[in-house]
Amino acid sequence: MPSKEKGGMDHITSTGASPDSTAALLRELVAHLRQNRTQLREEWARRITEAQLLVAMTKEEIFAEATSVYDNYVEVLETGSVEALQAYARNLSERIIPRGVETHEVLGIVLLLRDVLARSLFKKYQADFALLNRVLDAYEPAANRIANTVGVSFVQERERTIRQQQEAIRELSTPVLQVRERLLILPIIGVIDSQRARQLTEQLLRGIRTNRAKVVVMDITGVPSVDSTVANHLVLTVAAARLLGATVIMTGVSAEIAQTLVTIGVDLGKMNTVGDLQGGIEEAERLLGYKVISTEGGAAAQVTTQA
Amino acid sequence: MENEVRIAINSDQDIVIARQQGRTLASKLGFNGSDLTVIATAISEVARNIVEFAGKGELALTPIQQSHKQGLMVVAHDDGPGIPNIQLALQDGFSTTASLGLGLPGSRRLMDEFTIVSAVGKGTTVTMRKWVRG
Repeated sequence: MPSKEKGGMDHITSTGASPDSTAALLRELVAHLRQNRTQLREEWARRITEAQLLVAMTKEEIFAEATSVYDNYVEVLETGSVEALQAYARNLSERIIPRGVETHEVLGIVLLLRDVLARSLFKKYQADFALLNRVLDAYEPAANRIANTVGVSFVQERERTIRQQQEAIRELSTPVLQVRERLLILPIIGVIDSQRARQLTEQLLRGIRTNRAKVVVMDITGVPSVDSTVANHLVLTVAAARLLGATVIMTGVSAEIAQTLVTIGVDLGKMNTVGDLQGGIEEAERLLGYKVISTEGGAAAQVTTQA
Repeated sequence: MENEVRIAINSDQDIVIARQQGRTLASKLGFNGSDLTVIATAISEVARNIVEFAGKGELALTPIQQSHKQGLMVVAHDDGPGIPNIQLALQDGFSTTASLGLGLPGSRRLMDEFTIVSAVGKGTTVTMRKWVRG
């Protein structure tokens, strides 16, 4: 059938693009993006600044990262493999997360690039709507995949950072401290879950070993709630400490926790408990045979004379 | 009126979140200090059962009202293996693991109302209510 718009007809009949033509279009696309690299990259960086994204970074930094992302972007379109981009995105996230760059900013810049490139395609193919459609058919899925890759990499990196910080906090939050020869205190602050309980037991047992401790004061003033599982962990920790020859004195059980534990039916009868940390340390000193006496020259005495 | 809170329970961390959310909501509803601990603990027990036995499930915290009483309803639901013998599971000290076996019976004592529905192979739903003491 003869047609005035022969080219146009061709394009329309071939929507639903065969893999071959998609590849050809992507090649054309890549060539276009390479050719206009400088201008498009600048346009993108300008739009980023305009949208007030990546405010934590300087203009030069934004331009440098924009260049790398741009080149990686083109490479993904060319090779179809997101691996290099993924690695770069992870590396980028690692660098910018500590500087306070937020998820919306990262998604924002990728979507901006998508927009900048799409607009340049509109411009290039404005005379041929059918061809533009086919170019977009090839471009869109790849662009979506890239946006996804960068976004997911960022979020994963963030989650990894959070996990690391959680671990660090856990490590920090269970110090085993030596107060006197053979006397340790273990102040527990915050929520105890099974993992932390396990770690706590380990650290305590190691502390008992290295300090050759005979008495441990375990203070749970800073623990907001204790359920039967946590109580069980505490009981087991105490039993394990006893096997190593150390007596555990538990202090800081709040009235609410005491009531709750009794209602649940946890039997802490075998535990050696003293009201507060001070009382616990005094009891421990008594057990170890220490006697603490205040001297006349002590701070307390001075305060009284001054008053 | 405060809104319902739903929490997906998949891990130990979620138990902590559930407990904190429960405490926050209960505090907004006017529960006092020791009841807050009681509620947080009961939530902790049922959430832990989900993690331990079903692997994953959901917890819903809903403000409720009856005549002039304000209260909190806690529904813990999972599609886990279910409990073959509920009577036994509600007995103090009964445990199929190395735990104290106090989770369910303890929660029942902590809360004002407690019902449990379970079918083997289908899952378990625990519904608990606590009323603000006037």
